[in-house]
Amino acid sequence: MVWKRGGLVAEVCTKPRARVALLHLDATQPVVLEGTAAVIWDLIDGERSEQDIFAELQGTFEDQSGQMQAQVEEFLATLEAQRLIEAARGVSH
Amino acid sequence: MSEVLNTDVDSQEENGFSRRRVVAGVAWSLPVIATAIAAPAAAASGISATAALTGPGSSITFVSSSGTGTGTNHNGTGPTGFQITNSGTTFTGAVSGTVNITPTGTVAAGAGVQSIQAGSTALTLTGASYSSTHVYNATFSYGGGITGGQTLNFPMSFQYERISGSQPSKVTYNYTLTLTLRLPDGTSRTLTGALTVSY
Repeated sequence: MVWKRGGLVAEVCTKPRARVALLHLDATQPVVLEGTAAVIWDLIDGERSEQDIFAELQGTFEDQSGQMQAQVEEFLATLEAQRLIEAARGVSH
Repeated sequence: MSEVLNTDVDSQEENGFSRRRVVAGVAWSLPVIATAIAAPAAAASGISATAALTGPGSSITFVSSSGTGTGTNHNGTGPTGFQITNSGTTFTGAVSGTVNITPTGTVAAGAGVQSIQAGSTALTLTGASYSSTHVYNATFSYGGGITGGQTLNFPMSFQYERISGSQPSKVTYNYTLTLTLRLPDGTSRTLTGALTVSY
């Protein structure tokens, strides 16, 4: 699965990109991504697959819990549920 | 966390991920979506809606998680769905939901959601999964809005986690169902109920 950022999502970020505020234009309240959530958001570019994203994160973070992949999948699902991201191509559940 | 994550910043960084932004070896932490504090104007325009489980404690049937016809159905109890009553003005935008079903004590199989509908329209369950301790999680979204004064029903059906090897027998498992609904104004409604599955 390849994800891209939603077409109706406005984004404001700090410099450097420590905090990212997102607003879906059908919503009335923005959400804020920080830390690993902001890093994952940066990796969602319409080109990287979920596996590419996970590989980047594995190469960057030390995952003591062993839950990284499940947590990333759940986070992406939540972003999709809030229509902040959408499938770009290669839908292969 | 942000101080740690953003050491070694490249001042020429483009909009996007850069390995130079995050020092390798930083401890992984759960990614979460935080809600910004509502501005007064947003709070004043909030949605007047209530949510409740429908038919809690009803006799319901749990089908196999591995698909229709692949396992014996089991009887149990639980709600038949939930409903949202909009006592204010019509709202549009997405209602997103999370479902968590956590067993009471140690169990050999979990319970999950087989389907959710908005009225008669099926919703898509995303990220549905069982953990090693048989905790079920999934998300869904409804984008149809709710008319002012309307009560919209969301019928649900349930499944049991079909495990490999010997199946549970002559035992009843209890679970706690937690539904968290996030409305378009950013507010949430949390519903809690009970499920039992008799094997």
